[in-house]
Amino acid sequence: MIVPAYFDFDFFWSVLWPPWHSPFLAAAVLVLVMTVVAQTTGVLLGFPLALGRTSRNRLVRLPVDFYLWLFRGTPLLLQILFWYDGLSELTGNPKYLYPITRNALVAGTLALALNEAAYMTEIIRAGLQAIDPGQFDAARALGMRQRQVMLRIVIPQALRIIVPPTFNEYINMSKNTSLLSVIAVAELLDTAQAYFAVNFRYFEALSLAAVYYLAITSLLTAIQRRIEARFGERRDIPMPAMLPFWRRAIGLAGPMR
Amino acid sequence: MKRSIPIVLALATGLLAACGGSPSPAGSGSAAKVSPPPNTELLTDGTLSIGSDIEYPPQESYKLGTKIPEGFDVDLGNAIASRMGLQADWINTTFDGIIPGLTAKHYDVIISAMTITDVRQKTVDFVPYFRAGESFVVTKNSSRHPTKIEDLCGLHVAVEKGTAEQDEATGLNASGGACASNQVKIDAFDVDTEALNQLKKGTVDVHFTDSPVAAYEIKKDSGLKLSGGIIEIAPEGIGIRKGDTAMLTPVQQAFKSLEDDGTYDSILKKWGLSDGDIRKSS
Repeated sequence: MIVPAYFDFDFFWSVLWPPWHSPFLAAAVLVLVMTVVAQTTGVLLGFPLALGRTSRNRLVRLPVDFYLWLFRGTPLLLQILFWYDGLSELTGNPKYLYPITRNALVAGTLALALNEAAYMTEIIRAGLQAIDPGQFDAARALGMRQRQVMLRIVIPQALRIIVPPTFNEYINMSKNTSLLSVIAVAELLDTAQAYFAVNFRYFEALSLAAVYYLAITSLLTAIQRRIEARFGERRDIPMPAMLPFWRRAIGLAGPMR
Repeated sequence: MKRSIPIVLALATGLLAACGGSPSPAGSGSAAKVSPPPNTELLTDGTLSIGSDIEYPPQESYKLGTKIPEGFDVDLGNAIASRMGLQADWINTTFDGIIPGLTAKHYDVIISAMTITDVRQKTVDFVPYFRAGESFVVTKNSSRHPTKIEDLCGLHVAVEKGTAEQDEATGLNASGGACASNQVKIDAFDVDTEALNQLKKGTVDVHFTDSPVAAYEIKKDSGLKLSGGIIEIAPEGIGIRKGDTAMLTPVQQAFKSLEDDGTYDSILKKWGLSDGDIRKSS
């Protein structure tokens, strides 16, 4: 009574290999580019915003707080539609906004970057505030200026705390780009939808997208390991040997160091 | 699209055969009851759950500011349910996931302006209930005037995901297709109204959609017009799980009784869609 279940391996394989002319490869490259552009923009915006958020001047702090309240308080999907569709209606769609309102790729990447900046602000702020105030005082006592203290003492130490979650954000971002399928950016999910809209092979088309997402996240994870080996780890303190996972999981981790 | 017409005739013949047993109340205004499908067929006892992409006026949309569905399909679905002595429950879903939703029993039937195509018929049985074509919507001062499907070559087109329109436009771009060397740029959206919005914003040249929807759009927005006439006229059907005769037969009988007592005609007339009468074959 129901159509027999099967996996259309011929379709799956013919799209997967060779990948050179597959729309999925083009989509994967686009996802990677959007990830790097949007996330890096988010990181770059996050630094000044984090400094503003920790500022003692209310006139600096309040706008930053408002930004975080707005961008963390609304769904990313809503923000994407706001930049692509809402903005044009609000403004009457003047010509100078065409690069955003008529270009889904730009509007989408902008939405991802501005949303991410709010999250990066918190990650960077947490990193900066984790540095012992004694470090500050010591550097001042040695005669360093405020600027020198930040650049030479605080930020290098804070980076060790900031880098690992930042790379998690890169990996998250690569998957969040799939939200841009709603505004027809030809990323991986949109590409899968274009296949199953025509041939109804949902499982196969989604599997193809999944294969490419896994390739992207694996690549980013490999890069993350290399960078963390450089910045993330505290080499000055010897780490105790890692206990097996099951011992940590059931609380047999022994005394904290 | 036209390839599916012989199958429609076959279905119609089956429909007549299915109705052989019950006396038809032709002409009489009284609503003849049709025995409903057994409860094992229904998601909820006493309720016909109908899957629909409720963002497709005038066939289905929510009454502004409410969650009450309205439209030609909605009136028809409600009438079919009440013929069977059931309540209709409308379940909103995206169009590109509507067939897997039927297979996975998220609802009992599909009524969602669904064109009967060969590929869909591999997983779905249809009760044809309406005929619709496709139209090109452009902005009033547009320099683009597509009149046939090949005219889309080189144009930027917005469609809804999972529709026959997306299927056809994609086919043009395939190797050997009419636009293989001068590709159609296709932007596909989850809902058809979002595709229309791209035309209004000037992101795309053409909104390619079903003719009743196109007619409704240009009526509501004076900045839009049709380019060319109606193409690819084909039947739309009520979708039922493949081979599920316990559901198919009562739906066919209920639809037949609506045709016979004039309810079908009055619903068509109410929505200005009499041109889409399924009995007018061409």
